[in-house]
Amino acid sequence: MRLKHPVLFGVATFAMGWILQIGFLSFLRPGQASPQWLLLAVMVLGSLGYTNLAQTLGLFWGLSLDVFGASLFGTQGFLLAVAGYGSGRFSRQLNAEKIVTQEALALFGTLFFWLGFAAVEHFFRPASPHPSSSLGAAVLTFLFNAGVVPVLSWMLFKWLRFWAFLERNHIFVD
Amino acid sequence: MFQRHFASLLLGIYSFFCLTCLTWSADSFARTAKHAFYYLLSPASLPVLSQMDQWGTFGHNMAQLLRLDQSYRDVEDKWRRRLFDERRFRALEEENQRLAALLGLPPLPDYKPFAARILARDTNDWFHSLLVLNGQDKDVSVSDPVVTIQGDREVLVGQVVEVFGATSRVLLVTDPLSAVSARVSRTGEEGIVEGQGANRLFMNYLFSDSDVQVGDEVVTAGLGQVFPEGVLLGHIEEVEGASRENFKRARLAPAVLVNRLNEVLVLHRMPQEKGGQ
Repeated sequence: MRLKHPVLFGVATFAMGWILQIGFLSFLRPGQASPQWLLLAVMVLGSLGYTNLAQTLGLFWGLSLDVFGASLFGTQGFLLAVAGYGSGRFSRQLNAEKIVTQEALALFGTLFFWLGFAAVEHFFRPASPHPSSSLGAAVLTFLFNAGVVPVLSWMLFKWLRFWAFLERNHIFVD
Repeated sequence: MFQRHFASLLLGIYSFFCLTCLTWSADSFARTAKHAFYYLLSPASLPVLSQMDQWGTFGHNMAQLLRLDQSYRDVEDKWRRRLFDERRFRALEEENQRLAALLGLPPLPDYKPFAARILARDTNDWFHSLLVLNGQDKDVSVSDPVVTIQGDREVLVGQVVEVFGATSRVLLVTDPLSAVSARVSRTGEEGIVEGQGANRLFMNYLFSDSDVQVGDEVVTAGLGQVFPEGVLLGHIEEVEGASRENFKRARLAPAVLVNRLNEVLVLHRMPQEKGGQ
């Protein structure tokens, strides 16, 4: 499904995703394990073939998380952008509507993020301990991600269809 | 070709930007970029966070509201039942007075309650008497009964023995000079409850075949028309065997919590109207 207004779609998706993320985080204690909504959204979008959109959203979402979090500015922006590119690169081999694919994305995404985060922190801030160095927290995060990725994928599919509907009905000025 | 490699080019630009920020994370460039992002996102973040806070307190407030509503309904229900009981009581009282008048019996005394505050207590006299402030304009007389409300019950405190204008001395039921005609609620047996000092009461002149048991409630009998009938005196703690006069004696736990008295009600007896037909 080709987007006629990818920039507008990107801005709207960014805003919605960010508002949902901070709304969700407000219920959690600092450091508490939680699903990585934005990472999963980036990977699902990439696996649907929207590579440029996924890595752009990944960059900006990641930078936003860095600004409001404890990680170095650029860490999560880099990781999410790479995650979006990676899933987009293999989008032709993936069927994103299958649950198996979604769960595999959750697994590899969590693994990549956890290892990438540790590597970046180790390289650029060796004196500080890795914020999510606990294996238990990583396992818990993966379980959360695996649980929510079907729901999130369904929401994204609906959102894309809704956007296509708006574009078909010329809601946006061309 | 450019289109094919556009994604890789974009990733290269993003990675360069992020790695630059990471490499010079302490530098002004990275800090400026971070602050710019922060100020860009704050207008969107703050309303959402404040809204979530409101929703959080909303749940708490709703729970409070529901609890208050339930309490209010309980209080309203209690009040309606009290109102009903009061009407029933008035009707029974009127019927009683009519019947008493028919039989030519003198009417039962009516009392007007005055609230009075405990003014002073003597540590040497703790279970004997206390001084209450009833006010200059209150019509308090010697031998007026004094009660208090504990829980839902009227409990006998004692009797006014001296009046000094705005203050009065009340002789407590626990004083050895106090003697109150009493009745065991369960069996109807009557006796005299006398104070023993030190927060103790004894009910004397119970017949030897008396059926009173530990835990039985003892109330005023109203004999002599000094104390109103049915005011709680205490509960039986122990029953002593018949003495040579063939009377049993029961020890009572006084119902009045002498150490917790702050306010009392002085029941001023109203003048009796002639019993009519």
